[in-house]
Amino acid sequence: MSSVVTVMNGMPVAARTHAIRVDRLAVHYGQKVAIQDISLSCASNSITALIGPSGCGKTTLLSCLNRLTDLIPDCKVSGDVNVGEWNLFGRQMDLIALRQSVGMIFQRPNPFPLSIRRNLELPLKEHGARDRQQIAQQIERTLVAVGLWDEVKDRLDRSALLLSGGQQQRLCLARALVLNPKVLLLDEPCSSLDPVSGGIIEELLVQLRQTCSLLLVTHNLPQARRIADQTAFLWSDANGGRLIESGDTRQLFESPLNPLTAAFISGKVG
Amino acid sequence: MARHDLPLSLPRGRNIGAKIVDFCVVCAPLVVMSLLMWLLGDLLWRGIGAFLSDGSNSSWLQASLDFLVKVIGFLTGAPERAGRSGGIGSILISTALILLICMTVAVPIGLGTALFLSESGIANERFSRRVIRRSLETLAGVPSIVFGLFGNAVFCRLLGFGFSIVSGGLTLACMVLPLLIRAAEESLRAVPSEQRQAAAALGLSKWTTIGRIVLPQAIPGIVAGLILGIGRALAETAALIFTSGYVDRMPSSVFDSGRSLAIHIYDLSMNVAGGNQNAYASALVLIGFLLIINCIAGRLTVSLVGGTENHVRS
Repeated sequence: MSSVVTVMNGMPVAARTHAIRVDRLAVHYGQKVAIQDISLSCASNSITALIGPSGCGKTTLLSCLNRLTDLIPDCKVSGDVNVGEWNLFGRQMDLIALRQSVGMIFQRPNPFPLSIRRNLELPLKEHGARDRQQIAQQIERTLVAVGLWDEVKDRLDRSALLLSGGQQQRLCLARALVLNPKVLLLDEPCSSLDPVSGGIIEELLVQLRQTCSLLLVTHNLPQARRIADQTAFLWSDANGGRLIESGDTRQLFESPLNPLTAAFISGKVG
Repeated sequence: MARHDLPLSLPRGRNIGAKIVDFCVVCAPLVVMSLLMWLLGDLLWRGIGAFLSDGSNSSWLQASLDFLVKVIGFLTGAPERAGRSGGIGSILISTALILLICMTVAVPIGLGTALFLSESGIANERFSRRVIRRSLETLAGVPSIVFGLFGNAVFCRLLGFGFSIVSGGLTLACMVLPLLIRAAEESLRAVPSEQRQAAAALGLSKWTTIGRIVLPQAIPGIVAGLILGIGRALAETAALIFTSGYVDRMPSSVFDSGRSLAIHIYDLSMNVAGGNQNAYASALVLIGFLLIINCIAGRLTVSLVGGTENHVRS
């Protein structure tokens, strides 16, 4: 992990991020196997893309990394997941601290039906921020960072649901970033947006590499190719989703080792 | 509207059948509407007499002023001669107290149960949830006279509250609980699960999520359920006869017996000779309250539906 202080949009940020290591991970929903035997590691300050056909367990893998799997009844997880120094499924894992450090963005923008300001204030206050001025500054900084400040600074107290889809997704990004996460999990963050809004999000993700490790589920292969440092390809068969191949993005797209990977990225299967 | 497109391609015989069905479909709501109008008209016709002056040749202004004075006098005055004359002041106070007790007990219990049913997602609670649901359904089907007998046995005798406003309020609380819980649970469930996921992913605690995100969205539906519950409680007689009692005095505390509006009407029309005029006037007041309550509930339900559409959009 590096400890260089970088400057992002004028704000100094300690760029110490967490690396992710997944070891022999398997997830069962009741009797059904969702994913099994997945081992994967992501370097800090990098973007890792997860690609593969629908239903191959990409989202399941993602939600193991902030233990959102806990919300699903009958969901059993085995194997090891390490984020930074945390062993996620160990006995003494502090879920609140984990989810403060591991942010998540969902496929469909899901701002709370509150004002724009309250959307960002709520997580800050929950995690112990009390000083009003600091909170206001942090909100402004984060909104500047996602490029939303100029668009919403005059209507911070209006409902977040009045924003456009792209703005809502950027607000959700801001809501995760306001807690200074070390890892950001993104579940097809651009897929419900128009190309322009999607492009804005994509640019933001590239910038965010300076402060976070990013894990990005995407169906958009050109997007993975453009922004991801590493790519992992998942495929599912009767025994649940498995990791077929992972590695440097360029290498994976240009000279895949596995014929299935080659077939998928050329559009012949999946 | 789509119905009118259909007969074009239908054979003649079917066409007549469809017209008969059409006719019936139009008639059914007309029958319902005219029943309501008849009932309201009848009540107004017989009840309004209590508020009209005796027909002396006074001016229009004088007459309407008289009318207002009489209405206020009726609403605030004490019943006289067993309710044949005088007003319903003490009755309204008793009714309000019974409702107040009913709701202060029923709302926290109902909301708690609804939260348990909708928000606790742990697998081994499924069994208890099924049991709770089943018992609520059973409770909702129990006739109100049975609630009355139960209230008499438990609150009046076992707990020693006697015939009192407390006993009546508690009995009504048991009766409206299923209604409240159903309404609250449904509006909690209508909150999209994405909201709960987003909250969990931000590390918000369960109670922050419920208090700041889920409940505020469910409030209109919960309040609508509450108002329907009040409406049901307001109209109740059978559950109160054996619990809050008949006494038409102004209650000095909630441990006094008090007569609710619905019981007053029942008593005047069944047991008091010459009480019909005031029975109708009281019924008019009761129906007025119920109409107001239903209007408010309707408004709130509309705003609830509007709210959920807002979320589905995203």
